[in-house]
Amino acid sequence: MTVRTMEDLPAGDPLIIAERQFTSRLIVGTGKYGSHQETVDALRASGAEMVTVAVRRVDLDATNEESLLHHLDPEEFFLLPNTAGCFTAEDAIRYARLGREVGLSSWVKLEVIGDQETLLPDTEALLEATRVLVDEGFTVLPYTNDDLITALRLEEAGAAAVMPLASPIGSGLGLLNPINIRILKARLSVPVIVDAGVGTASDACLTMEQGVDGILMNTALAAAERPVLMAGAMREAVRAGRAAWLAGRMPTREWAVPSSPSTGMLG
Amino acid sequence: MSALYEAGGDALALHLRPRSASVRRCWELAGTLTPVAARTGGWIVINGRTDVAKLVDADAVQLGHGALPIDAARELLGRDCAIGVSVHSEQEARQADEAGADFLLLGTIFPTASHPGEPGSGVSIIRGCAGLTAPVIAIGGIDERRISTVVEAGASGVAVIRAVWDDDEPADAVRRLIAELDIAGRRNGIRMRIEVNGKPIDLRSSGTVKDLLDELGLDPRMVVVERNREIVRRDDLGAVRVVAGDSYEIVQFVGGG
Repeated sequence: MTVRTMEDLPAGDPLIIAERQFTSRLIVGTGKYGSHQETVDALRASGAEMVTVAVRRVDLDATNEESLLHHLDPEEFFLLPNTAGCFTAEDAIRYARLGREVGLSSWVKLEVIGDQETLLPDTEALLEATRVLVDEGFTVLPYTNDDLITALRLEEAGAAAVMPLASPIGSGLGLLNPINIRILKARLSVPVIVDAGVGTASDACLTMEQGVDGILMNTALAAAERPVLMAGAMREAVRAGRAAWLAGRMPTREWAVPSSPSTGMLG
Repeated sequence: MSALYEAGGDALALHLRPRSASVRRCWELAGTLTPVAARTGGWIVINGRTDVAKLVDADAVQLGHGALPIDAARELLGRDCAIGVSVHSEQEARQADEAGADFLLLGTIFPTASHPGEPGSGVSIIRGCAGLTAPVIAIGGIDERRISTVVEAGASGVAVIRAVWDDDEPADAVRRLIAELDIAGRRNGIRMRIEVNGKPIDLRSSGTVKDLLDELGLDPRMVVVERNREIVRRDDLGAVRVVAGDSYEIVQFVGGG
């Protein structure tokens, strides 16, 4: 379907990863909200279809505390388990396998963190874990930095999408290097999802205007004063940014060009 | 020996000692037993030789007098191979427990032809080991009739030689011994310490992983269980038995980015 007007979005322009179609180009996390109810309200307001979840030990002293699965209907949302908090390939693989065993899908948002303070990825371990998990039949979506060479190697290793950061996780600094992101998008065949760093709606819009396939965010919603309202803003920003990219922006120039005819002026 | 594995299922561990055979013979034997042990869930335990244990991917190694210390054995074998330590006093038991032994082989409890002239410590030594993390396997002169006594004193299992090999039908002897252990275990509330999510938990009865989840109040559909770092498939929860010394991770989905 050709996208002609804004109303054709997002339905007429789905995000496709590993042959699976998603209506929304916005993927959101489920962490750090005030309550389960707020989480679900924000997810719904964001229009996201795919949402990330973490794998953690059950708290044996509070087993009545309900699992997130009690609140997120897997029929309504596609749950993407992450390997957040893992610092080695071995750990990330272990978490990925546990996430798969829940029985919903073989997809994983693969994170292998290399540094506690910046939460920047350990790209060497990330590549290693990607290879192993792809080999085990996982659909791997690795969180990486905005380095082209790493991105190309991840694609070569079988990643279903590559997810470069806009800026560090939870920083809200927005898109720090749009040029690198554009280079990645130009050179990769798999979808490019910008993951982490988006702070507000204009960041999301600007990011989508680079031509990337989608955005994954969590803190921008959860840490907003009114998460549900921000979720709605992000939904519109991603849609607007995508539409602007598809529309093809005008070229920029240094000097003014009049918008009104220069002919037909009064004598 | 295959017949013993068939008879004993996952309650049986066969202890191979290169001391009486040659190391090479022990290695060859372990290799031939691996398939049947894997199928039945029984264990292969190698006495002393960590090199052989590593080569045959044994379930456990038993460290006796003059063997490598626990740390060194662990370094070589990693976490997948359990480490048992032979101890002969409460003090030795405590030391091995603190050093991280996965189980203790405690004896000699009763006089035995394996150690002629030794009087046997009696079961009080088992009682003295109550409170240790590692399960105690009693050894020395134990037969069917004495199982209830050692289990009552706190043993989680028994190690025998003659009670099996002097029987006309060793496989039947294995069945009878395990049945006796089951009865004694149920009667005495066999002490079984396991670890769940990093915390020690004492179970009063043996059961399956599904029973464990029930006891913890967890819905099997909402969690994933890792037993000794291997995932237990949901369909297998009701079939896999909880064994003393097991380490479990029980996880669920929580909010995350």
